[in-house]
Amino acid sequence: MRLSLSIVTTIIIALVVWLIMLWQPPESWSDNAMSYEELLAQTFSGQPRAEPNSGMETAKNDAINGASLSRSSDVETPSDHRKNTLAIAGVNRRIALVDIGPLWLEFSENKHLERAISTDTFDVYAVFSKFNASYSVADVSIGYDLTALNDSVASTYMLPKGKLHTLLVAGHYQNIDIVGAWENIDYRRGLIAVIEKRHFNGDDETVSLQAIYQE
Amino acid sequence: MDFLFEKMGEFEIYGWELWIGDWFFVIAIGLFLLELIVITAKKQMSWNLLGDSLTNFVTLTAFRGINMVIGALFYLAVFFYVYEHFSITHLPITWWTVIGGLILADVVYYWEHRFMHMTGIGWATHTVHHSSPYFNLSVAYRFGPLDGLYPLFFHLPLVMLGFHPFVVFLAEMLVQTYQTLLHTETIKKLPRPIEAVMNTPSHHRVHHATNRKYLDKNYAGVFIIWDKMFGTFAEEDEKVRYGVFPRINSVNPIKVFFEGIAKLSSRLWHAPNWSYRFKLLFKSPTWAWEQEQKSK
Repeated sequence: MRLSLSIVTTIIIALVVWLIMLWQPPESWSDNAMSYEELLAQTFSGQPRAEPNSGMETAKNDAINGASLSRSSDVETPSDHRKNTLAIAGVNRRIALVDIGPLWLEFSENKHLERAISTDTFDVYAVFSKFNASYSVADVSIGYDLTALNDSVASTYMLPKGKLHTLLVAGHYQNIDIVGAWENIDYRRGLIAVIEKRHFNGDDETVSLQAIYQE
Repeated sequence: MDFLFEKMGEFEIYGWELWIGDWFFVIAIGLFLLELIVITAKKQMSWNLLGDSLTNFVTLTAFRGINMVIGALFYLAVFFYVYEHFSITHLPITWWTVIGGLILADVVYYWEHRFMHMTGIGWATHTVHHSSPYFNLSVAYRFGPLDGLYPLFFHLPLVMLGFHPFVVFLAEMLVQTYQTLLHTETIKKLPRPIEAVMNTPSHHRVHHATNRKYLDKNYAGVFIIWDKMFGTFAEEDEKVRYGVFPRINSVNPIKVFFEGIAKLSSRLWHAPNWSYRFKLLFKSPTWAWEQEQKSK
């Protein structure tokens, strides 16, 4: 086949394949404006992830807009051995992570807990532990820091022991950033739990994400 | 089949690329050690072969080092800039898209490979890969200094069509890792249906051959159908001789790694005019050799 005809044939092949690629269900095309629950469900689609390369992240973000998000892989804080000192009071359930939304709703509708808040600033923790093999199901505890509540509420959960590692330093983030920080989890270190902490100070809310590892 | 259309995060795709790449290298090393056992059993082992294999891995290290610089500074930035500003659409990151990306990356690889053979500027770096007189798995890791640069230009259209850069990287990597297993004499011919569609060790031996009838044949990466379609296919039906012409009779990794670039640079320096220099860069390396023979 002549060179010119070969090139034309190649272009036709490329267009045909590209057109086939356009044929995908609407769910595949859903944009970045997903709900938090959808983002989390997307992250835990059943595949273990390799540790991302922080150099690639930085290069990609710099290439796009020159700014870089504060991601944990760029700010590696030393792990420390955390003692089991934090108690929370709230709701506990073993759920598929795609169902996290209803559990948050149940927690937020618990008026007894809301009335028990005794401080102006308080923390809300969402703790994910005892994952299944594909990290799609976990024991989830959502609750207030017990120290922010009065005596009418008892502890419902204690944080497990292990080495604490910060995935996302406290700040103001969109849902996509929080879910993106989950991708920085190093599953090779024996993940015990993931702690999402929301600190409320009046109308201001900051979020941080930490992982507890075995080693 | 629903999993083909499940949307993935961009770093999940990147994670797959790292995971497959790392583990494939481990598997390839294991297979290479097995291949050495087979070569020893056939009484074909020699110190020169071992030295040549070591040289191959040295060129791999040098190539990876250069690629890290090119990749970090240039490749990523260009890909993402084009993706964000000049792509027709943003295809969803799904396994379906990866499959399409793989097919197109393989077509693109055919043309990139053909370019590396048919132009002086491409052959200057690609000659390193062909310069070994042996044909084993370690030769798959014998790279030239600029082998990581040209894929940028050939794969950029995929980004413009809307394939996410990390999907393109994954597809590129799969096309490259598949070819690793083709560099062997241990496997003769595979079943005919496979030989008809896929690139195989037999087809790739033809590509590495210096036999006159096998020159500039079988450029394929994964699918041999592109060579059959575009008229560059040849069947293996005689014993293959490997290497380049003139031969590089050395296992010195520095000499091997820079021989092609050095030769092209020398020819450019001694060229009689700019027209000749342009032809040295973009005409076939065979043309440059023929000009030298005429002048002797």
